[in-house]
Amino acid sequence: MQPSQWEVIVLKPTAVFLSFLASQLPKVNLPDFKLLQTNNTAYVIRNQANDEETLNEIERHFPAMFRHEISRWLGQDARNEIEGSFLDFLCCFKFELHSHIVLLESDFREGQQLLRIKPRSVLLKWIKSAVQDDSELISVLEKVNLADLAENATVIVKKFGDLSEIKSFLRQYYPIIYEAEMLRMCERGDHWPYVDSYESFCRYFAVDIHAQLINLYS
Amino acid sequence: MEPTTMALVCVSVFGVIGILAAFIRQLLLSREKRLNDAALQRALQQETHELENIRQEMLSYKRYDTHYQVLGVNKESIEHIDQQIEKILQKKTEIIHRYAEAALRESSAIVAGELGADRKLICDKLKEEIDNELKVYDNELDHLQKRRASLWDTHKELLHDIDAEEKSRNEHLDALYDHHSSLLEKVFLRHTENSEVVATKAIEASTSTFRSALMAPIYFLMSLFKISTNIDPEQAKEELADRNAILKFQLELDETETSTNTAPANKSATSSHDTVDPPPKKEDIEASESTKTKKEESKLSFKSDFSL
Repeated sequence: MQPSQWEVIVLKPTAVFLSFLASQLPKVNLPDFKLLQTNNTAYVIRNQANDEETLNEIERHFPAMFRHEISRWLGQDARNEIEGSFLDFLCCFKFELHSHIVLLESDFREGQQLLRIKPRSVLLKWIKSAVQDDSELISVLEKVNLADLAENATVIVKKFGDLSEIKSFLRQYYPIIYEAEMLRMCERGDHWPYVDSYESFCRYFAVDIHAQLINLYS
Repeated sequence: MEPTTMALVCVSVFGVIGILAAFIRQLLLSREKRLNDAALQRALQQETHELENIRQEMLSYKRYDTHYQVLGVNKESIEHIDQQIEKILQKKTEIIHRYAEAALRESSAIVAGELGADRKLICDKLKEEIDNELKVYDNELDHLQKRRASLWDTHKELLHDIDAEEKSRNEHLDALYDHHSSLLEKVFLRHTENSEVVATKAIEASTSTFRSALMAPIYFLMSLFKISTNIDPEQAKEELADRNAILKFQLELDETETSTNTAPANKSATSSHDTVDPPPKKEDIEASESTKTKKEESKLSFKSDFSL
């Protein structure tokens, strides 16, 4: 393993962005939240030395990200005054950060899509059972939800041709994906849940697809 | 592609990848929440700075007064009306600035997690009172301007200039007020933990009364966004179709998981499948696909040619 030069930002639209879309598209049926938060754009920035620098990088790139998000719904030529407001951008989107990255191309620029490996509640249950004798850890886990567990979850960067390719890819490479994601939590492989098939992998993890991966670094 | 060609690049935000206990202890210290909140506070700080600039700009404003040299018999009455108009504009400026400061302060408290729904109700009540007060000021202003016009007996072009200048100042104040009202609403909606749930329920709600009650904050905000230029009406339909295709595919992947319920149990996994987060129903997705275009469903619309 080596320190990543990159960090991935996934923008998750909020109710404010939904309201913005509704104001711009009065004749279009509103997407529900599940759909609005499906296939969200992933952006790649350079990994920074500290969180303050990461925020500076996000602020530096927000106009490009905001414009792209708006253009996905309103078209390439659409322009709105909110594009210039950092506060509007932050109200319209929560950003997720991923630095646990599996790059499956020789260069980041060749990666076109991103898969996010999302722990399921079965995994949380396994973690609870693994530390059931430790009351301190159990008390922490009582406050933990799946979203906490999914923070900085492993992401896979690759260039896929179509959706069916993703399915066959997952079937073939699930052991490596499983290993990468479990290493994030526990380095002792002999402590992990036993996974010997793609189906058993799927019991613990779901996969979110992000068909747009945009490099912001230059 | 061979597994050996893979490059695993990894950085743990918690330092060295540790044992499970170390991982668990860090789970509640969300870096994402901390950074999202810090970014919002930073943006609010910028807004506060901008407000201070606007205040300084307004304080340095000097009213146009050369017309007094050319006015006729009604000069004194007009001068008196001008003073009254100025007083109203000053009062309006003061009240809007105080509200803007309060909106920024409350927004910052929301981000810091210090503001409950009851406090937001107080803010709403305050806004309602200010709305009414501003209406009174606007009516007074209108009344005084009309009276002044009736007294103005010479050099009408100067009256036009003064009216235009006052109108512009007043519109500027209204825009400042709208900006900070919407700012508070946006931050509140953004930071309300269950706003997504509320929005989802609102969209699903069957009765229009229930729907409109839940959608109230979203509708309120809608009225404050200006319409974009050059909207392509077809784009949203394509975007909906693309997202539906991906959602449908993710559902198929989820069904792979569901099918494992009937597969033999593996060695060490827990046997309770009932706690698995349930995948969405396929019918729900298909029902929301009314705008789907004819493009081949199995193909992604990979937009590889984006350059920002």
